[in-house]
Amino acid sequence: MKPELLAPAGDLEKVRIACLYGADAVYIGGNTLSLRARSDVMEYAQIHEAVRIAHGYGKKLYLAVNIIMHEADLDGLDEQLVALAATGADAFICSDPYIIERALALTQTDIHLSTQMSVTNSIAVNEWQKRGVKRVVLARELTISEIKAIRQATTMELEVFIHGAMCSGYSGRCTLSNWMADRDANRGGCAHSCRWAYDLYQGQTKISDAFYLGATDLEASDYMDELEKIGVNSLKIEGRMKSVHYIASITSAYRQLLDDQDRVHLQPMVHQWLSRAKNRPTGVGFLGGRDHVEQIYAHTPLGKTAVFVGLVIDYDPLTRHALVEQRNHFRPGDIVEILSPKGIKGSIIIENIINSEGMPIDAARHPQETVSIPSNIVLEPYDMLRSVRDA
Amino acid sequence: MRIVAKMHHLTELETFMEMNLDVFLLETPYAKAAKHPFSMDDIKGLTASVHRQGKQVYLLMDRMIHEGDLSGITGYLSEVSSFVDGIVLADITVAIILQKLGAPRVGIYQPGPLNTHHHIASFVQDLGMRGWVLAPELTLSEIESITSMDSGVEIGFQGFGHIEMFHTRRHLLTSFFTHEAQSIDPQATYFLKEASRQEYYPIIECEEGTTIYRPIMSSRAYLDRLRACIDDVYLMRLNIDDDAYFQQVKAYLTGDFSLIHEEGYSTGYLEKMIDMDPEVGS
Repeated sequence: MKPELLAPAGDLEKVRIACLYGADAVYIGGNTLSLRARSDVMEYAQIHEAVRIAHGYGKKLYLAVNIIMHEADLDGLDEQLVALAATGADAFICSDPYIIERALALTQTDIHLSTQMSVTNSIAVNEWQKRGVKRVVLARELTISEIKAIRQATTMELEVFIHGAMCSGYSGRCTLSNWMADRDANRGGCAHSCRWAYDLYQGQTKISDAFYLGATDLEASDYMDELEKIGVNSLKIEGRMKSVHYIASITSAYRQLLDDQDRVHLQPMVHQWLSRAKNRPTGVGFLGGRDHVEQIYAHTPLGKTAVFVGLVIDYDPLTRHALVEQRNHFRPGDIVEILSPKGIKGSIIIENIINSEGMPIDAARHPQETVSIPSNIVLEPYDMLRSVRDA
Repeated sequence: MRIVAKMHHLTELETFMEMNLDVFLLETPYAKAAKHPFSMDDIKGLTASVHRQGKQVYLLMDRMIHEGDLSGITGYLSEVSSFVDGIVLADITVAIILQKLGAPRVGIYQPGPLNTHHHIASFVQDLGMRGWVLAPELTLSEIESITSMDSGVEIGFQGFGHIEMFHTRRHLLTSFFTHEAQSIDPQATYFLKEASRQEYYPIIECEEGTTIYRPIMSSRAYLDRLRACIDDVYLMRLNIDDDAYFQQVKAYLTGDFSLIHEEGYSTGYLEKMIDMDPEVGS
């Protein structure tokens, strides 16, 4: 059976984009088990709306409620879980054993065990199944043969990360951020201290001022066949805080790969599509075995190969003009590639840009301003225009 | 309150016995960053000696357990679980295996930062364990709040030494030196330092991965309050001179710190509140 493609979303627009661009399910953050709201977590009403959007597309919506609670967080937990369940979310992604216990007791919502619990073997997987958990998000430290061995030893639904930034340490057990920045990683405050540069000393002698703990981001497109054959139930993309363009690009690339009958031929293009959205080096993580884990030794961001310049709001087939919401600067003469939910439609040259008052302008400069551009390629709402360096 | 101290060599038995140490903590091949693992025969012999003095032996088995470890660790546990008093574990897999083996309640759950509220006690009990070790990131008031609840299982706290703050399956030092076309010196002691902080963080690489530790901490100033609520205080030993460690153990046992010099030691999180802000991977 084809595995589920699970995409991240940090707001309602991203939920819609993830659904449109090929996710079978979307996961978002619920704010109610946290003590501070951030821009990428949602209130009840928004969660309800996110569920409505996802279900409207026939997709599932999972809620991350994966903080590790302290005493001060316990008050009101039951009420919050009941309220979250009432949003109609299809599953809670949890790590704290007490949240799991209460969610199972109070709601009918499925429980997925977060990767924050670092489940690394079949005995632990089966224990969580016995406790009522529906799915385990496996630790990102597992090799492909370890995943296979676990699959053979359990009937539990298994979810595996396939793309995005990875914790360098076992998730949920890292307190670098707590110590370095006074921010609790298990309550959402991770300062990414593993990506800082450290001095390395051998005894009293400093031998480097560029020691990094951080790993390359994960890109597992080469493992789709194996993960599907093994019987992994869900393939997860990391990045609730990433942009709509990132979510669209990555989700779309994996969707096409999963749906294609002849993946070998599609693979080189998929690498290129994925590269459109990346700004850090990628590798295959532990999937390639323990000896193939790539580290980052310099903080030199990759130059972006694509810049998201506009989101199509509407298209008039009679006039062949599209209404576009600006996301980054573009001007007449620019060549833009069109990413759509069905893949890349092709490229067009921006012949002219008309502003909302019907006047031609020399550039679309203002974030989220609405402009009109001609396009001989038929566009649809939620198509994305991006300028591509190698186009 | 019992003092739990780490033993590195058989020859230290007498020293610790003379101190009247409560609990002898021994590394096993399944201990994280193990530098001094004891053989099965040594563990048996030591346990017999320690029990004759009415004291206890805990084994350290705090590695993350991967699929390939299951067979070996099951055999190991079936042997040791019948005669040691405690097995300190970070992965619940060890507790589940102990339960399946019908072993006595010897598991002690120590998963680093995950033990942060009093309801964990019922999880620990349910998994057939003897006790749990509180997250080292708790404040003293949080500790007192947790321990004010009657949990029915014993509660431990890491009260001294370099406390772990990061563990990865990656071989970070080997990867770095390979990248630099150099070799790691297996005898050397390595530290990390962040440029804006006057602190050194021990970093140790072993077969199972790499572990990084906080600067040394001491809870001596809070011993009276800890004594009122904690069953076991663990004294960690990494990168501490043997004699200095023995002095510390003696001081924690007697409460007499007059000979102890602790300049530069922190008090960990005991009086430090960290930020809470929700955005975690899932």
